[in-house]
Amino acid sequence: MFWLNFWLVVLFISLTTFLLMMIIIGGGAIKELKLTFDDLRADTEEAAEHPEELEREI
Amino acid sequence: MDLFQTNFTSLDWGIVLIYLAGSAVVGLWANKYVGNLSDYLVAGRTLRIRLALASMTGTELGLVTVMYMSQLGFTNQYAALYLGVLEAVALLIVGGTGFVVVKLRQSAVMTIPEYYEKRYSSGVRVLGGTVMVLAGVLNMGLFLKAGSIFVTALTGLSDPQLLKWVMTGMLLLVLFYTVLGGMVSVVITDLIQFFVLGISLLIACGFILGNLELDGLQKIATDQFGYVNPFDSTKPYNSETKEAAFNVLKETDRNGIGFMTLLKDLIVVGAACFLWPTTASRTLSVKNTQVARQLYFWSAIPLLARRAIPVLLGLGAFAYFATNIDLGNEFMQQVQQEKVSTLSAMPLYLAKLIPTGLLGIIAAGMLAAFMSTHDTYLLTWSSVITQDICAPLFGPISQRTRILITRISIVVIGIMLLIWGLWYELSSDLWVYLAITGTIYFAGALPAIVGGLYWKRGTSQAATVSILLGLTGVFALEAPVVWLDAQLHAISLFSENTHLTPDIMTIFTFVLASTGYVITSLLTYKPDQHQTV
Repeated sequence: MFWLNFWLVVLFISLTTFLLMMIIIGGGAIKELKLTFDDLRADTEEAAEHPEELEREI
Repeated sequence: MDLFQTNFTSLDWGIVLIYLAGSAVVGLWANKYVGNLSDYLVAGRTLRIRLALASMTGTELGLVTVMYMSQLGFTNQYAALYLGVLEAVALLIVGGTGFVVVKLRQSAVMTIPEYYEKRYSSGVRVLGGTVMVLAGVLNMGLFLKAGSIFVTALTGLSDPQLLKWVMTGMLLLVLFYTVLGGMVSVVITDLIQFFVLGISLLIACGFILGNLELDGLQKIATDQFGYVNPFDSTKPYNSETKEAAFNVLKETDRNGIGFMTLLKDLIVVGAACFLWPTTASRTLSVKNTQVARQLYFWSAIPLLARRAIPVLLGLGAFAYFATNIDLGNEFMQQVQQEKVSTLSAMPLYLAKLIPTGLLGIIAAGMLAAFMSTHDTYLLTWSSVITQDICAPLFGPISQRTRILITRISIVVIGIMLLIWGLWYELSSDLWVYLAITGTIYFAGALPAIVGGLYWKRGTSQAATVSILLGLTGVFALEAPVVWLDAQLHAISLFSENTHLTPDIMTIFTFVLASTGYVITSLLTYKPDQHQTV
């Protein structure tokens, strides 16, 4: 019965933490996605101002 | 009740189609955020912890993971959970100590082979990149097959021609948005897929737990002869009454996990958690080393869940077929006749358990899982081809050309997957295949990267030797192992009762590559020529 109980605890931990993670990460991730878009927008604007950079061989 | 009866109707198809159309729109939209190569390959290194975690979960909790873990849950019941525990422990150790990941992120490389060049030479980079792509494409070669088995069993789609078109269409959709938006679209779609898949998995678990209850979960281990102790190399069997689980039909079905498999999986899962290129690409995309460590530490939770939840689906299928024994016997008969695979057990079970409408959401979630893994994998292998094979071989290349090469590589790999996935027949557990194809890369990369980061005597020659010796991992596949075993018996190297197994061959490959690295380094090290990066 040790193994059965052990695996039932593992299943319980997995399910509850997954549910919690969905809630905690979910909201935060959407906010962070907006910040990422800001960063990327700055990147693309800079790239548009310096199109020669894309042609530079590296 | 018919074995292939399903609750999947046109309403469910509608839900799935709306979801797929949404993904295509995201791909088009993300394209405007790709300003340069860094944006395309690593989303400009702008990911923060929550978004990185959601994206990593979206990638690693793919349909193929759901399929092979539920297959293990069906065949090995509770004992299959050992794989999740091994992985969670490995991630906690890596996250807690920063082992490898901190130094890799500090090196500011975009891909692992790029590190090979920084630490060793450009030749090692090209070789390492080639082996990585070879192992990676082989590894994901069966993803499409697993996806098609799932769709067939869940929807009751029996026309094989139509099924091929459905799978081809889904692959084309992934190719479309990945080619256009690169890592930016991958991250956005991963986030959507994280929600859709997470919700659908929780719905499925709710139904299974409601169906089984605690009593049913216990009966699996008692009345239904479920397998619980992974250290036992044989599954439960009453020799007096000849009773065993309903899916143990012949002597070989009684083979359990055992010490050797545990050791092999400990090595493979341990190496995979920081070396597998798709996980490493997230490490290399995060803002700084602190986020890299946090990412590993906290991802222990979703990555434990990504293995445990599908095992619960497999357990539900096992209990369902053990209780409805006529259906269970019919299913196992078809497995014996190789008409269906044990991979079908979970979707066949869900198709009967989940009501219409909700089944569509679950199907969309699983297809989301299918796409989120494909997009990252396609982008990772393609970026390796561009950055680590083409660029070192053909000299300086502009960013625009590099993006173009990456896009072409994505399409070429997609076509290869389509061909491979539709004709290759899987003869063992899907996990066994994935672990072996991964070993081809891991076995050589493990000493080359760990040695490179932590041992100043590691040399380019040693890295080359270890990467090449890692290729011997291909001999762990079923057909070569059977052939090698016969040869070893023919020359009387093995006794009658000793047999070479894929597990032994996999462990041997790791030992061989690491030994090769150490010995070659000791032989070729010159103090004035080498330094750690």
